[in-house]
Amino acid sequence: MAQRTVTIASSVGLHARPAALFVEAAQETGLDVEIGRAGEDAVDATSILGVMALGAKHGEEVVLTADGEGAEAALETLVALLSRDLDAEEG
Amino acid sequence: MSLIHEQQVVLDLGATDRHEATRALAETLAATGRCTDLEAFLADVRKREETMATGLPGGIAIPHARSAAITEPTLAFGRTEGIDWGAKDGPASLVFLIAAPEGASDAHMQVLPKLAKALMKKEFTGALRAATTQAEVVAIVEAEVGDVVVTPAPTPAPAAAPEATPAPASSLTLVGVTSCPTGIAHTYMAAEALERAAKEAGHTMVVETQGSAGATPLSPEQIAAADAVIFAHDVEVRNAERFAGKPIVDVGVKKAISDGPALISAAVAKASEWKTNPAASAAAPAAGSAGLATKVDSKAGIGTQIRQWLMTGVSYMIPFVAAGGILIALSFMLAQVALGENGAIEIVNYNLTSDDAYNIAQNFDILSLTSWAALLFVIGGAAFGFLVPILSGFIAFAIADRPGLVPGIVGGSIAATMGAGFLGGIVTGVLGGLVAKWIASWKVHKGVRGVMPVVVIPLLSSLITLGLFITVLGRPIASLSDGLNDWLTSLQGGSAFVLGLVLGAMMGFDLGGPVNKVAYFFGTAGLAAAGTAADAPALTVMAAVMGAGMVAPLAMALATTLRPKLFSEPERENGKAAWLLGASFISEGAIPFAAADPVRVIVSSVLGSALTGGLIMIFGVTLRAPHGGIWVLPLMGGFLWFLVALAAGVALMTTIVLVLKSRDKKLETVDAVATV
Repeated sequence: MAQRTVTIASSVGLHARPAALFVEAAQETGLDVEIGRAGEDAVDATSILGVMALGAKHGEEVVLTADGEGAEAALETLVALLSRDLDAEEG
Repeated sequence: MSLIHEQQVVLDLGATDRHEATRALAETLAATGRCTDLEAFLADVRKREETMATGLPGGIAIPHARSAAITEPTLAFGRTEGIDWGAKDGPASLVFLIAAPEGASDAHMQVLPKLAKALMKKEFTGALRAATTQAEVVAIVEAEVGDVVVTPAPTPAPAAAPEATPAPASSLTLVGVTSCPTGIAHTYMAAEALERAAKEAGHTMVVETQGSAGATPLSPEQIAAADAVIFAHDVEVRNAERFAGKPIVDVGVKKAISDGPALISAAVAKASEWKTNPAASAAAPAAGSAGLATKVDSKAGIGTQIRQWLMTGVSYMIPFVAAGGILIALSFMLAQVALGENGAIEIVNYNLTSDDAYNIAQNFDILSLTSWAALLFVIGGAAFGFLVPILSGFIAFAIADRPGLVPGIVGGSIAATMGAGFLGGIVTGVLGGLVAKWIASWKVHKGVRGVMPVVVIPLLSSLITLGLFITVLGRPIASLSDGLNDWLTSLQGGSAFVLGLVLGAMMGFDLGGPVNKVAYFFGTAGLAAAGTAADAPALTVMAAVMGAGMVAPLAMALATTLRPKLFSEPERENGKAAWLLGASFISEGAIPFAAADPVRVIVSSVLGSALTGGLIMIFGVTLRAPHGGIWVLPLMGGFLWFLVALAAGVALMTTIVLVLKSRDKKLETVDAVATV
């Protein structure tokens, strides 16, 4: 079981569009990825509704967990994604 | 405040693509005043949609944007047959449009997680799909998502947020203004609700009620001491410039009654936001140099704005219609008793200016019933003389605030004098208001600015408005009247039914305006020509003219009784008076309806009145009285047929006006906003 803690960098938090980008990336890993606040129930990181329901804000720390082959690498990718300000990248 | 409103729910969007659906939902936000610039907001949504489609698994779409055109965080909801919204698992049938003001990232973030959580539940989406009324949808959504109260200071760093949140213990001083079109009940209910909510939240609040009982204005000291201002109003706040520079929460009056505590929270939020950044959150009405901005200017599309202008004018005119009309009707009743059958005819000869016995000022006899009838008639007539000037003046007032009054009222008076009727009054009101507003927008030297609202704007706007009306706009109206008169004379040889139709249509067209008057004078002129002849065709023409002129007010009275929901509160009030006015052949009783919604009311009025006119010509009802309505029924030849024809026309017009009004969903929304 791989685990990473990351601070949300998106300036308005993990809301619709950043959430969707994140979910897409999580789905691409092909693994069971979960995201949640430390000490709270985690949600399925491949479910857009679940991630949006989490409502992680800018500056909040979230815990990512994944199981299976290549989990470490997959989490690295996702951590890198969340560490970017996804909102600043819109056109 | 309430995130979703019944008016922001569209049970069947009927749209074929996501842009259409988004536009339909955004229009509901514009209608409730939460979106100030439809196109700008749609552009923001589209931009967001282009970056990434907002369709979600499970047949859901959540188009959304933060936009400068949005006044408060809000949701609109609509159902579709299934529109491709970019989700992998298929088209979306539940659409939530999420809108948040620019910079209010916190509010945005409060809505989304809650909504997402709710959307994961099958019961929630199932209930939304099964809901049959808009109220049901609102209840379902509010139960899950709840009311999101905007937390102040949308600071990006969460660490800073706690400091920015106002301490619950701190007591603020709030002031408010409430008003509604009739100024009777809702103004005071809203004030009470606000004061109670403020007290419960530990704040001090004083509310100025701009109702019909007159306002006790807030003192300048009270306003200066206020931390925030709440406007809960459906007609313009008078002297809004007094609140310049204060943070203002600006909503409809209903909001205060239904949701006082939320408004108080919003005001508190604004106050704390204002303390950190006064420029950004100071209210728009404060920005104008002379404080001329009004609610209608900034909050709605042009169609809604025009309707609100007209409604403002109408709401000020209604008391004049009621007072004048009822006095005249009473006068007819007394005259019937005092003078017998011809009383209602005789009494219209009385005035204040002639040198003969008809001058009631010189010949008033306290013991004479005729004198009393004449007195009532003269007073009622005087009140009617103000209909067009007041209508015009307060249309201009709605557009340009106080400086609009002068060009509006004077213009309306000229329109009436020139025989342009209430249509002319609408023209002078809108023109006067726009001109006054335009002049008020001039950038002028500081030294001149002080005298702008008192001298310069009224002077120039009156000159421009009336100059234009008298020289350019007045002439077409005059020639219109002349042309119609000639045309009518040439028609008289034709079939009686067609003549009746034409006269009826004219009576119903502008309800006391020039076209109506041409038809009426045609009738009375014929009456004079007929002299004492026992059975002249002119007597039938007179009966047709009078019957047709009674249709519009009676039909509108019936319409407001049958389908009150299609009408605003002031219209319903006026509907009650319209029974008496219509029965007394006072076509003006329908003007408030026609002024508020000209196309639908005039179209149906023309058709209904024409039918009555035509039928009376066929039936050959005769009438020797030039006026009097049902009070001169005994004078008619064949009055039962007169009643049959009248009933037919009223039934036709009522049906048409109800169909036209209920077909337009947008109108219902607008009316609901104007209804207080």
